[in-house]
Amino acid sequence: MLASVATFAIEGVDSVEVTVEVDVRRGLPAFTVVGLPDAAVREARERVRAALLNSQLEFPLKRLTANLAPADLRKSGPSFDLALAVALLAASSQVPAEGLGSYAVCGELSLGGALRPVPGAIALAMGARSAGFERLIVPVENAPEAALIEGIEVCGVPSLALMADLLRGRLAPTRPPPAPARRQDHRGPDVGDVRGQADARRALEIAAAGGHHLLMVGPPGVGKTMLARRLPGILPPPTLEEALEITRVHSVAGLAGGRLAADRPFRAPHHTISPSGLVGGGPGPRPGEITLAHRGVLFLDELAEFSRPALEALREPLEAGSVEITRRQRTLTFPADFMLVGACNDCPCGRPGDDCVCSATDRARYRRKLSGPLLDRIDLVCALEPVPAGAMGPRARDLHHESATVRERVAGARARARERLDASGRLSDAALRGRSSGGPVHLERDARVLLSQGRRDSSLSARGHDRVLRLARTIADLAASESIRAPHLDEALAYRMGAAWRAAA
Amino acid sequence: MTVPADAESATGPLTGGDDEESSACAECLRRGALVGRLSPRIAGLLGGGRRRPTGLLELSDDDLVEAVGGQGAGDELDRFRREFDARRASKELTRAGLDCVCRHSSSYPGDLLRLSDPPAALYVAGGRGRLRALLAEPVVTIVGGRAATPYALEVAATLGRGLSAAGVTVVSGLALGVDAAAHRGAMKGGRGAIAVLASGADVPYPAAHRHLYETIRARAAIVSELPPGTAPMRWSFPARNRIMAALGQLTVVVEAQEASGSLITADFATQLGRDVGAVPGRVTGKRAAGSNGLLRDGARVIRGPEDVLDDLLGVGQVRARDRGRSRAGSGGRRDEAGAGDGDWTPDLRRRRKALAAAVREASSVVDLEPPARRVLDAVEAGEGVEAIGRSARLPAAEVRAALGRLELMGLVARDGLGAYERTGQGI
Repeated sequence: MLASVATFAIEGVDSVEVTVEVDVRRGLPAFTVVGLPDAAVREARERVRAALLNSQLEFPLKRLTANLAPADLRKSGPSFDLALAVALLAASSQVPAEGLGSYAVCGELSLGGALRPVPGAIALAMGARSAGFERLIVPVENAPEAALIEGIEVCGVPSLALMADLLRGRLAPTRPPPAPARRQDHRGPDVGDVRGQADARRALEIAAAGGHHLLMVGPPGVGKTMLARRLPGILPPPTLEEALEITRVHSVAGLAGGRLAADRPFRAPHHTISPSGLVGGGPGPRPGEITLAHRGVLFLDELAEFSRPALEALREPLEAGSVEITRRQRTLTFPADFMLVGACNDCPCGRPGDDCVCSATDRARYRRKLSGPLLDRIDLVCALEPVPAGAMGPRARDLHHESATVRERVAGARARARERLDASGRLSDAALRGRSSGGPVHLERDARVLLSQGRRDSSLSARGHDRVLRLARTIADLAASESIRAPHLDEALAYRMGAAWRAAA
Repeated sequence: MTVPADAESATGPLTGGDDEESSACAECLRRGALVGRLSPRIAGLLGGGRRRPTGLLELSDDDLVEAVGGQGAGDELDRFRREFDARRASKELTRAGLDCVCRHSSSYPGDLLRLSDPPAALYVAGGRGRLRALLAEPVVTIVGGRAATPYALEVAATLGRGLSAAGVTVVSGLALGVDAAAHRGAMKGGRGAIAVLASGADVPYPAAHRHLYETIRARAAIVSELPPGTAPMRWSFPARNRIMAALGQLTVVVEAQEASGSLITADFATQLGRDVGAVPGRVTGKRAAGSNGLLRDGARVIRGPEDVLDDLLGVGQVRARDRGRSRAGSGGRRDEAGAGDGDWTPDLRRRRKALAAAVREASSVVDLEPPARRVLDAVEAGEGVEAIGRSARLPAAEVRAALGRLELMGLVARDGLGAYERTGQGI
């Protein structure tokens, strides 16, 4: 007898429908799984058999063939266990086969018959909803997360035995409460603790307000890393939609912890990371750090120490807000709309000014590592310098610069930007693609003159021109100004990287 | 010996006309080739470090070979003498696109003959006519360290540009840092520059400056005493420095550490009885310790192109000439060359223009808004935004805005990141 059950497989950060068909007929007892299963899926045979037997269900001693369709998609991982078991139950008439068509089921089985959680519950639920299923059955631990998606009935089941009862109609499904947000108040380090570095704090605020990429350069110990760690505290919390996107990505990577993200992610990979670790890849392919930093911050400390291929791989995602990975004839698009915050020294030895012992060639090589195309995409560059002891000031908190206050200003600027961008779906000005000088950017006359002068005098590329405009727009938003005025543009220009750093030696 | 004045005014400056069939005699070509050939041995003899080939290059061919020594040196010289073919050497030169002027030629820079060991042959890329035209003007040698501060790079570029615009030929060594900045400035100024190499004149060294090399070769001149294809050796740098020192009526050290090659150049210039100038640098750092030391020892203080012009031509000469009054008492080489009065006019026009531009720049400063003014006043050499903000007592946003505006106006410059400096305009 034949039965089929729908399940979903994680593909990148999305899910694709997989139909599990089980055929039971007389013959020598055997259990074959076909349809490009990997080792974990083939092992499902043993788990399913033990789980059925330990749940007081019958494992038919017949010739069993399971097919995972579509047959050309590679299946990996244990999340097909539950679908296999249910299809087997239906095919051997232990549960009614009618009505199975409205279910999608996902879950890993333990030998005892308990259901284990699987990664990517949100992606599974989104896939099931758009495929038109009425009900999604997941392990009970995944249920709150999956229930975040509206428009599909999510059912959390703790074990295979109860799953069978549910299908036999002996158990009424209970709707789990949607996952709570992780936490609302930010308890990270506060930007108000930073003494001195007013310029860098200002840069941080602008970056936060517009989602601009930021590079901090300076000798060791001036506070680059300390400042970067305070960035999440001044970012406004994600909207519900953004939180879902973040949670979806993190859930696929197994980082969500079954809760809705309340904060924007802050990812700080070590500089030895490989290009595919950074942008995503591997046979899976799995999301990289830039995707895990989606809607949040990617902090690359010691930027110049990252491998050249890794840094160059950042170029397209920085511009596009997503990355396309092609592996095994499949092309997956991962979201990667993140703020890049880089920190590096001025030269290999890191000593300031006259104490530097690097040769001109060493310096040039170090600077070349950060290629022009990468730097051209970074809107804000600020050089930090040691704060003299006398200028540190008292430790008393400066209310004007506390994270909460700054966050309010940032949120205000973002709100103005969003109003202006009339819900175009973009997070921020920096994410606004294409030419921005025409539509939403209104330049005052003297600012326009200034910009064309800057274009002529400096090595401002066409992209640089656009980026300066966006930066100026953000600065104007922070100042609650309708149009971009000359001082805003002045400030934006001053934050762009000068040409001399790029010129080798 | 120099070219007659009318011959020069007929060709005009920077036209690479060749007036002689060949400017190098066979003996000098052979000497040049010999030095190139012995270069590795000279390096071996002098060992590591920047030791000068003192006295070595004064020796006759035989003595040089004997001094440099090595196994079978005598035989090798004999063979070299037998096999050396001046015509083939000339052909090789043509193939490399080089000219050669020997010390018996009329095109040979007379200033080099003041050296105790003048190069027998000077290989020229860019044309010997052009070299002659460039050397007919006042010549200033600008040298400095390779790991230069932004301040030094800017001063070097300003000097190069300003002097070049005033009709002065700038000589430097194409090295990283100050040398290249001076060259770039000079090429922008319109007059051009002479690069003296420690490798063959057809070998761009350092390789990072290949582009600059090509620019200078295409529009000005590159010279070396080493035959084509010779790689630079440690000894050839101080040897090159003596040529630079001899070519310039004034040698300006922009920024040099203690024991740097630039000080060797200054030393050579002093020995030749030439003036040495230095640009004041920070006394708290090591980078300018050598050049500051020169100032302490009595070198001329160079603050900009005007100071160099004053030293070359006498105080106030530029302005006096500008008004078209006295032309007497110019201490420059022009008089030696016996140039006619008319030669000065294009330069004068250029200088007047430069002055007018400077005055315009100065008057534009009046328009500065108060915060920009305060920030400009707060900018000290090599300071970052943070320090500027502290001394101007303005919020970070206003400091950045003011700096952006000032940079656009050309009143401040930065080293690409945070270290701002005043450009010397509009003070």
